[in-house]
Order: sequence, then structure tokens, then C-alpha cells
Amino acid sequence: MMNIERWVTLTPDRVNINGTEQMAECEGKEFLTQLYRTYVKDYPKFFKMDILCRLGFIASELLLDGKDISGDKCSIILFNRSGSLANDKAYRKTIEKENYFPSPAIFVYTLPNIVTGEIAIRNKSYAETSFYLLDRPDGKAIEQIVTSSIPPHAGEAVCGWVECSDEDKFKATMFLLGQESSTPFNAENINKIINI
Amino acid sequence: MGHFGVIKTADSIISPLGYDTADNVNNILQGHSALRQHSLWDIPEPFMASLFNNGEFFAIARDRIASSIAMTRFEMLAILSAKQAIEKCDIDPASPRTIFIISTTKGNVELLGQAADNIPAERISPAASAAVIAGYFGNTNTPIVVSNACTSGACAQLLAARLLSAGHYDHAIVVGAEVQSKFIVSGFLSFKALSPEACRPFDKERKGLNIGEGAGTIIYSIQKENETNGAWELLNGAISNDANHISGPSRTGEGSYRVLMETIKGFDTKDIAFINAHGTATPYNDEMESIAITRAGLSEVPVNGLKGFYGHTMGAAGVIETILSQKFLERGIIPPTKGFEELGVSGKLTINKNCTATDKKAFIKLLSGFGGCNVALLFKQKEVKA
Repeated sequence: MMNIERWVTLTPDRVNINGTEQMAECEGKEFLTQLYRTYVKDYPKFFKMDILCRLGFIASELLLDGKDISGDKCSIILFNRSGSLANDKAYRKTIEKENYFPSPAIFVYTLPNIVTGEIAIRNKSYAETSFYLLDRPDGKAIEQIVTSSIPPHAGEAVCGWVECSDEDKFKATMFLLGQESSTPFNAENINKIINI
Repeated sequence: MGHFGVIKTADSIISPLGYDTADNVNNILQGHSALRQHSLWDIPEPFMASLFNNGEFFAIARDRIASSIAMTRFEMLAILSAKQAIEKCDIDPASPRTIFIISTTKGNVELLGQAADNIPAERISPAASAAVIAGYFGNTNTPIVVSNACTSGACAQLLAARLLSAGHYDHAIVVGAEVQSKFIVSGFLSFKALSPEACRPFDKERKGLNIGEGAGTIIYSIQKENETNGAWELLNGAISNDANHISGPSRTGEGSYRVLMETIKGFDTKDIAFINAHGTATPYNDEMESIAITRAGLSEVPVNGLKGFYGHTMGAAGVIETILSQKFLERGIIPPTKGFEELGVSGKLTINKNCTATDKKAFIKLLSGFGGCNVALLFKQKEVKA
């Protein structure tokens, strides 16, 4: 049985960590950059990332707050609805008949699981990384998939909903799971926090 | 009994090499490949790929699918394959105890920038597309789309085993499907990952991959007690990240090595007939897999790759290649590696070039993909009772 140790929600105008809300001074994509400059500072690879990766990366940094999840014990399992749609649209613009200049640096982000890879690289995690798409943030499906995927010996996991259909339209809810807290990781609590 | 207690109940392959599993197996036994050179979609250079003949595809889809709503090529392909597998067994696809798991990397991406009049724009999301696929069969559970790049088809099977094993469902219909378009081909060309000729997995002269279209379906069910009817059991599996690079495989094969070690834990590797590798025929992928297999102490186990027949069918590859591996082992054959001539990787591998006889009943399916993900699955056929 896993419990929710800590959670983060992040939208274009606010961030909420375990119930403590902070309003943005700037909106949308700029807000993510501001959070990077305030809380991360030392990972310039951030500026190469597409918007979905920036969103997932910043949410994971705020969630983990320096906690060490290196090694193979902490699975990273994320969900959304639109996959990598925001970046897919950007890539599509580079392959018009009259204006054809496809770039590998954009194409590589046309897969949503790149964000789980970016978080694994940042945290030196060899654990499982998985990305799933659901038609809606369904707490029951998320609970079933995450709990049946965590190996019995694992003490913790990072999971959540990281949706971004457009550069200024996004929402992330990320959970750190462990054994200590008394908030069970179940459909009811997942839905409650995702809907904050 | 294995770790999960799940078995394969039925399967289907729909590809340019045939519109059912048996046709696909027969074509591969005869050495046929679906790879051809194409000039399409205003892409400035020709490319090798395994693509459906659209005239034939739409005629078969019209004949076999009766639907009141408009569907895309991707949705028709997934439904053709799922329907064929469902018709081979007696499970109820509409039951609340049945879950649809769809594996694809790009689903309906060809709709981007050229929306079809009769298809709602939201179907660009594979999740919305999956709802159409599951809905066709009357299933009302939220379908799950696995989006782990090129490893999706094997990850989807592992998810099925986990969900059944945890008691959430009795049956899982795992559908891997991919159609090709300008979006994907232009991207791989920009990566300089495509081979101008038919791909040559693990060969010294390999120049890259070819892409392909296709779909595979495997229906998994909870194993009933004392069931020893020769069914295929998914014994074990693991997923691991390289934590190295988002598009380049690890030089030490870290994630691939780790999933191999985890998957063979407690299993006598002398019983493994072969490893069906990813074998995309890019210089980096095949080299990485050779290092991972060698590090895992599996150099003696024959390795094969099937990309020379279909190219890389991406989200479908893990499912199609699993089914083919099973069908070959049922005939006592280690599948061939079309395009391979001379070993061109640094790891000490035994590549199985031509069909070879075996009496072993287990194999490993191995895949790797962008995002640094790696997956291995271990399958074994149960004894056939006289």
C-alpha cells in the first residue's frame, strides 16, 4: 500500500505544493522559466526542452525538492490526454511542402515519454519509466496502473498527470509516493488533488 | 506457474505481408519482405518502407468493419486486428472485466494540419482514438494508451499482465498499431536514421532502419488452474531507463542489460531458444543491444531480428514480433534475420541468420526506444497434453 508523501500542482498562473499556493508573477510558458530561475538554476538543458518536458521537469523538481531518487527503486509513471500535441504542432510547421526543414531537435520531442526520460536523466534513475494516455484524468485507472506497476520491494514512486495541449495551456499534478504519510494513494485522493 | 499467471488466448497480425497471422508466418517462412522503395507525401527523397496498398486495405476494411461513425486509417487498422483476434476466442469484448490497451507512438498524427471533414479534431489524441476503438466493441472501460516510444508494444503486454495479475480484469485486449505518414518519415530522415536500402540488422554494412505499417493484437487472460493446453505464458518482464540520453542509446547498454537481468532472474537460461532483439539496424541500437546481451551473460543464446521483413512498425513492433516468435517456436524454429550477413557489432552475439531447428519452448522479446526506455519480456509455451 502506497501513500501520498507530497504533491505539486502547476498551472499557467499558480503552483501549489502540499496545499500551499503561490500565484505566478508572469503567465504560461514564462512562469515555468521563472520557476526554473528561482528553484533550479543549474540545469541549462531545461532551455532545450519542449513545453511538455519543461512542465514535467519543473513539477518533478518542486516535488522532489532535492530528494535523492537515483538507482532503480523509484518508478516514474506519468499520464496525460494529448500526448506531445503542443510539440507535434510545432514540428508539423517544419514539414510544409513550401517550407520543408525538419529538425531532429524538434522531432525528438514528438514523443510524450521523453519527459519521463528527462526526469530519469536528471535524477540518475534506472528505474522503470512509463507514459500512458487516458481520455480523462481517471483516478481509478491511474491508481490501478501505478499500484500494479510498482515492484513489491520498491519504497517510493513518482507519478502524475502532465497535460499540455498548447504552450500556454497546461496542467501538471505530480505525486511522490512512499510509506510514511497517512494519505492513501487511491482514486478518491488522486481525483481530489488533480481537481484542486 | 509464472510470476503473473496470465496466458495468451488469441492473436492477430495485419500487415502488408498478410491480413492474418498465418499469412504473415507463411510469407516470412518463404523469405518474403514487404520493404519497397516509395516516393510519397512530397518528401524530397525516396525512402524504403513496408506500407499497405491502400486500395486493398480500404476494400478489406469496408468488408470487415461495420460502423456508423467515420474512422481514420489508424482506427480501421487497429479494429481489423482486434476483431480478428476476438473472433478466434470466446471472450466478451464488451464485458466490464475486459480492458483495451492500445500501443501506438503517433496514432492519427497524419490528421495534423490536414483535418478530415468527417473526423472530429480531438481524434488527433490517441486517447480519443482509443475510445473509438474500444467503443466499436461496446467496451465502456477507459482504454489505456501506452506511449513509451518504440518499446510501447512490449510495455503494453507487461501492463496487461500486471492488471490481470492484480485482479482488476479477467481479459486484456492488447492492440499495437501504427500507420505511416509524412510526419514520421520526415523526422527519421532528419535524424539520418533511415537506410536507403532494405535494413540489415546486426550486419557490418548496416545503414539504418526502415519504417513500416502494421497491427498486432494479443488477448491475455487469467490462467485457469491446471491449464496445460500449449498456451503461451508471459512469465516475467521489466522496464528500465538508461538515464543517459533522450535519443541516443546508452554506450554500456545500461537499461537493456538491467531488464535482461531482471527478466531471467530464477529462470534457467539454457531453456531459452532465442532472444528476439529490437535489431532496428541503426549503428547505435544494434551495438547497444550486443553490449547489453553480452553483459547479461547471454552470448550463447541465439539472437534474431525481424525488421528485414516489415521494417520498424514502432508501436506495433513489440506485439507483432512477439506473435511471430511464438508461431515460429510452435513449429520448432528459431526465426531468421533477413538482411544479416556478417557480424558488425562489438558484443559477442550468435545471430541466427536462417531458420534453425530447436526443441526449446521459451524466448525473450527485447526492445529499446527514444526517451531511454528499455523492456524485456520472457515467454514460455506450456506443455501440450496428449
